[in-house]
Amino acid sequence: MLLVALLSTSWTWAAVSATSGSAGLQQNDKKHVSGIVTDKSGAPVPGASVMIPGTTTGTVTGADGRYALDVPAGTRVLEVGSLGYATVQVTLGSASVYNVSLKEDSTLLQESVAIGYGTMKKTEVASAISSVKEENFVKTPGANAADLIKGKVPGLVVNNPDGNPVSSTQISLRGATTLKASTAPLVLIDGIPGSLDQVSPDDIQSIDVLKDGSAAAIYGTRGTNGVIIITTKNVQGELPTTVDVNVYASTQQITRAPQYMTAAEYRQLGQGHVGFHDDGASVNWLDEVTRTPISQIYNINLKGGTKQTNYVASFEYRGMQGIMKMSNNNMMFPRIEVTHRMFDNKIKINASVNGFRMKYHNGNDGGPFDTAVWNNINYNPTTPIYQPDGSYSENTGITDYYNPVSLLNETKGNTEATMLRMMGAVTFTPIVGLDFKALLSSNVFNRIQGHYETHAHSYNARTPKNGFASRGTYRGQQDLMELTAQWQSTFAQDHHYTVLAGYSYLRNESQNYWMQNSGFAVDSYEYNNIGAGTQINSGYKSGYMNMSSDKGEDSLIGFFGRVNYNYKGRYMLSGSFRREGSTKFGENYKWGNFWSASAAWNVKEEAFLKDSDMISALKLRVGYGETGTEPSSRYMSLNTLSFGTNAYFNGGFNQTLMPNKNANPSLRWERKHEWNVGLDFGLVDDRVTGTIDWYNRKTLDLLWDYTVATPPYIYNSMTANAGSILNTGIEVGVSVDVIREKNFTWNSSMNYSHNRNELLSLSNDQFQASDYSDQGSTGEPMQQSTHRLQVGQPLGNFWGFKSVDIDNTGHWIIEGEDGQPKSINDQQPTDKQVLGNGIPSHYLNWNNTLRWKNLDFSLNMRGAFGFQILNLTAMKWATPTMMTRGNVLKSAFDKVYGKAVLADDQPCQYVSYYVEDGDYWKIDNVTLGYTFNFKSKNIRSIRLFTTLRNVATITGYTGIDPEVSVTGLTPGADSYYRYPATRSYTFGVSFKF
Amino acid sequence: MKKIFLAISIACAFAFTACTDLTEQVYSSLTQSSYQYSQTDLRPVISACYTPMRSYQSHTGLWAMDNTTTDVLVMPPNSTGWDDGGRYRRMHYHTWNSEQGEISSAWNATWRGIGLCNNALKQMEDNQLNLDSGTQAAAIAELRALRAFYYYIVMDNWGDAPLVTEPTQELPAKTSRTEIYNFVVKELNEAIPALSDVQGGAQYGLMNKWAAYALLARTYINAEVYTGTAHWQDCISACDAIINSGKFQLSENFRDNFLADQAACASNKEIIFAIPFSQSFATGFSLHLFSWGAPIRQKFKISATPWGSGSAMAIPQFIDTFDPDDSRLDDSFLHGVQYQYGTTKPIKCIYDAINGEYPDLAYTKEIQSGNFNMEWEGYRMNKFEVLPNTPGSLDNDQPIFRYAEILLMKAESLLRSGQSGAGALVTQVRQRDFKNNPEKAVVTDDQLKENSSYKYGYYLEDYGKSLKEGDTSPIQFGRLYDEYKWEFVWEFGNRTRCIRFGVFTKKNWLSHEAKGEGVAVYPIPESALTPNPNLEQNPNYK
Repeated sequence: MLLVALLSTSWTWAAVSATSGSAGLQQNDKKHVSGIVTDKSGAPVPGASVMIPGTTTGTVTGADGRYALDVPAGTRVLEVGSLGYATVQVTLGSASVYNVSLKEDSTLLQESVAIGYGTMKKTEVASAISSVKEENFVKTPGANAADLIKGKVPGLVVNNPDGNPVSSTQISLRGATTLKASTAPLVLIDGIPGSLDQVSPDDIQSIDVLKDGSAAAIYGTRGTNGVIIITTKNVQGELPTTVDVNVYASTQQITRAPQYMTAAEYRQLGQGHVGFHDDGASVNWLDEVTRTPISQIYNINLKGGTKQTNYVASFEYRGMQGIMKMSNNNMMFPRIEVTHRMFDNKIKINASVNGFRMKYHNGNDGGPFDTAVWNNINYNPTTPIYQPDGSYSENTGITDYYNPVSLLNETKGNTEATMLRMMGAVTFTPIVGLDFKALLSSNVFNRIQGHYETHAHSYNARTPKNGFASRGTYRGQQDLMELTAQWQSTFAQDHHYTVLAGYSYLRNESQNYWMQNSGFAVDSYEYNNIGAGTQINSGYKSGYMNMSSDKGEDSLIGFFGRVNYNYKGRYMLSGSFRREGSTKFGENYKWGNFWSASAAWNVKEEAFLKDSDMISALKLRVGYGETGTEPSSRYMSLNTLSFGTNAYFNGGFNQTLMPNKNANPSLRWERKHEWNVGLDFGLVDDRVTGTIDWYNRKTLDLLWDYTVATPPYIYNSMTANAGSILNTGIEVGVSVDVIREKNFTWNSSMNYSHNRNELLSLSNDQFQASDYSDQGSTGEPMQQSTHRLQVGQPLGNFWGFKSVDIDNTGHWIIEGEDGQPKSINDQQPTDKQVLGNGIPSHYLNWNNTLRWKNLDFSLNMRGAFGFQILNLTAMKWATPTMMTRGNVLKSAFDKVYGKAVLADDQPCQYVSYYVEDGDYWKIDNVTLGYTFNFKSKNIRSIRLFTTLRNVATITGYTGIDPEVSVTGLTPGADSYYRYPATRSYTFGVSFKF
Repeated sequence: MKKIFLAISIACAFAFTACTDLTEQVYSSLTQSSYQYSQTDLRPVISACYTPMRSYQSHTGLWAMDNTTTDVLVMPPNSTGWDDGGRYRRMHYHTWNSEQGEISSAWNATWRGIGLCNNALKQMEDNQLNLDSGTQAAAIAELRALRAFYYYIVMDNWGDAPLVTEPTQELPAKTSRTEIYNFVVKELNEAIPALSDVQGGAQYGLMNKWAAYALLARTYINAEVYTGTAHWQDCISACDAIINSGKFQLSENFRDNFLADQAACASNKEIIFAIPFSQSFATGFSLHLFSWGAPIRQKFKISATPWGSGSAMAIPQFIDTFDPDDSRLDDSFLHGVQYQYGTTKPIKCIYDAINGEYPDLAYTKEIQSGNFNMEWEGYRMNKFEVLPNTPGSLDNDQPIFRYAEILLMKAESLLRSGQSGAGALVTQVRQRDFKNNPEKAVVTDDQLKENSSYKYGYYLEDYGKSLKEGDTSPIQFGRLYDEYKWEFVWEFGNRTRCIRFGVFTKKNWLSHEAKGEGVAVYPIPESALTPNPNLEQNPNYK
């Protein structure tokens, strides 16, 4: 009977209002009941529903937790429930006042979860969905939404490879399922597609992750990488205005600084090596380009409302500094959402406006950070920053050798962006259980950037452009229309079902322009007078003057439906279907079908377990679903021509006209078939709860740039669907209430995931492609691919020469194809072999939350195991030969294999010596807080807290931080261009009014 | 349920005109299906077929296959850390295999050229552009001759290979080298009558009649290598067609052929066919970057820094063959002390500080070995004019056929077919190079029959210490072979001649040891072989 209430999406709570009388009942048969609903501490629970089961008669409690209701005479039972509390049945007698105490629904299994186009009680979910509520978020202020659930969801890997305040978090779910298509999960913010950094973490109420195919199939071609459903803070029912204010300040330090020689060490160790040159000064270039950053965040959040109208408004400012000088990000997140119910709650209107404003330093032409700044901390430590005449020291002869202080100081630039997310929705509920909803939304993103490199800029010292300016702007728009209808009902008392059908139309459009000019008389215009440069008069010149623009659009159209059925909450069945088409698909395949089916058996509801105290929850699940991934770019299937490449004719260079790729009218989505088997359990009154999932996901029709035969094709690759990848894995999550006392609680949760990945094929009948493909680049001066994709092997294999020894003179000895040692001078591509793999095969997370009276403490630890890291920094800068190009790491003069130092004439080589074990265990987040509660009318509480992030790492890896990029086709490659990873210290105060 | 669909349908109808329309709206590119071709597209369509050639000029493309594999140039690694996985050295050692990037780059560019020609020919044959019959015939002739050029590259570098003459998606099998040879000869002979006979100017850089004859001569002179049957007289006829046209003459100065001046190149009477480049509009000619090394930037005051890998340099034994009075030595190579632009101030080395000091840059003839060199070792490129402020890409054009080669090819054909007159032709080419010693320019038929003056032998390290002399048998017409190298070092065709004169597969030089006949053709790249089961790898590389 609780089903109707709990299955409803949040707004249907309100549909049961006191004024909507049940048909067929006479006025004089009514009885008046009233009371107060409280939680276990005695505090009133506002917005709780009080209703007669199986009818539409009911009401919600007011701000004081009180309710009053006329019920038909003879009504025996009232049901009282609220989100986050277990529903209670109250047996009515002759009395007219019934006070109800609600028990907090502390266990995960009792929660409702978002399932896409609706919510569902956790106990009735048959697929793999993880739900994290606000109180369980990782308390990391200043990060994005992904950080809130870092280490909380088994199988979801959240990675922060760098400390750049503008860069996003990396996310991957259940292994690498694709080669070329996007690996990003679909992120829905209150049902509208977006991204994890588009919403302020302080506005988020819960994050649900649809992990398996049976859960995600309702999202068709966007479902393969999982779906992250973000629900922002909201209120239902009568609530006095409450205000939350949060203030944070934080600073950072580099996790571990790379050990380049100091000037003194350079003079001592470098002496006698080719390239050693003492310029007389002593400079620590790392100190010159980094700083102790201060970031601050201010967040204010207010909410309230009446029975009919609720509102939420919030505003956040974040002023973030990065550890690299100049690097920053200033953001504002405004948000307003209003919900209104009318015509006896038959109509609900919901509208919201939110978004952000963003402004950050433009460190390079088009991006926040010029990687050359970091790469040039190997500048000769004896070279002064400035010459006696005040100009920067420059050496324009050495490749990629720029005075990093000049790069920082002589770059002017800003990127300013605005995101506006607008949404309006109307829900029509003609009868209880039947809802029609129409949702319209439009997201508009505008970005403008300006960038200027002065006459004194290091790039201009090398390539004299006399000042270089660029301006660009981008506008993106996403329009969404979604129409859904849902019917939920019960027949023969114990059979509960929900039927959903819908239509979705999504259109994306983007427009872009960019211009560059150089040859400025003065620096004072910066980028604000781009026409003042003289290069435009001489016409286009690559790297000096350019102008470009483009526009594109795509649409995604879907028809979908879902049926959920359960019998007595014991046996659950659910099935979904989506028929989806995309403009990106080739004309031979415009539409695809995606479906899923899942079943669950809630053993706990069986008679033999129902009364067991030992086993408090037990559910078995099995699900199968097909999802897709659409091509990441538009127009890929079309036979496009380009007027572009110039040729000499008619007395000059003129544009030619030619096809610019091999067209593929059969281009379509990748298909993923996924099986998921799971078990949810609770022991000893749910003191121990847990989830175990096993999955097998196979991606077919992999999108890839397949090598095609030339001849007959003009271009040797074609974007097509052919190969397949298999991922299998297991996820285990266990949560234990170690201590559950009134004044002392300790929850300890641990989760583990393991994934095994294999590239099954890179061919099909049409494409007999090679069974391998080399990926990534070491960059100069090695110029080698770092990884090899190989059929029968996992993704992420490092592919290079296996060093086995070093000769007495300091030259590498590698293992030849025949297994015999040979000189590196005789290297052949065929000598290369698998040197390791960059994707961790095991992840372990351990989260602890302790509360003693008003003191709270949390400790989150994370580890990744079973992978290697390619230390590119060492490959390039731990070699004496690179003394010719500036400073090198101290370790360049360590004996290799304990035998000999690398020779001055040993060029840099991609050998296995630089592939290191990456296993790590991190104390990732430590938070200590104290809450002062007040009985005052003006203020409810103040919480003071401090958070340390990325506190300590146990690892054998010798680079900056073993938490390197593990997504894409080149996982585990730790580039010398990487913005350094940091440790952060935060202090904050939260006020609740 | 009815209600639901009704609601959806109504909402659709109001909100969007078509709720299932998935037509792609294209804004900033063109699609084949929607583009309407017209007569104005003639040159853009035909000239597009020339553009793949530009990628030949690369240290990781056909240029390397043609030069650093021979006895004239080498690219050893150096102290800047650069080795790029040993790829440049493998070209010198002749230890490439089917994964060598240079070879796949040239293969892909060549077949793209052929594919574009086949497409364009189909368009012309179908008269998609609505041309008058004269224009149509000329367009078809030009495309056939251009396609023949690409097939010449295929035949020369890979031997047996596919022969595809129309747009198709069928996977081709191999055709014998002889058949491709016959195809090239037939196509050129059939195309020539309809080709333009204008020299230079508007026809500069295009496959006109003279370019076609030059290609025909180059094909005939190698006929014995390609088919086993010599065609010396046919080569002489093709050369004579050019010589007797009266449209060509040798430039007064050797370096006039290598100017950074498009107009001068277009009116040059010696250049028969070239690949035009531009520092802004047609980039990719970066010979200065990959030969010079960073310090030379100061000598020419250019605005780009030559690459740390800058290492294409003369093999010492080759420099030894030069007559000291031959001005082509200076005109082709930077050697000795190098000075800053417009001064007599020596340039300092940039990378190789020795004992804490950067020595003056003075290029030595000697190179440590093919495995390593110091910053100052090896003679560098001085053939192409480089103007101040030149960026990373040159404005110069890459000559493919010069009149000098026509004269030398005719001389060779006369020599090889036992006719007289070769000496006079070679003398004609040499005259501009011995302006101060005109008598030294004179060379006789008999002198051309002498052995090469190149001291072949394998020097593992320390130049001058010959460890493996290898094959020391005399080279027939070796002196003429030397003449070609003095004239054409840094250009294309060096490998072809190295094979024709029996050097490529038999002799040792610097750190290179002869690898036998198998390497006379390159392997078919792995990337072309795997997707096409009908294609068989060349014998040496199976």
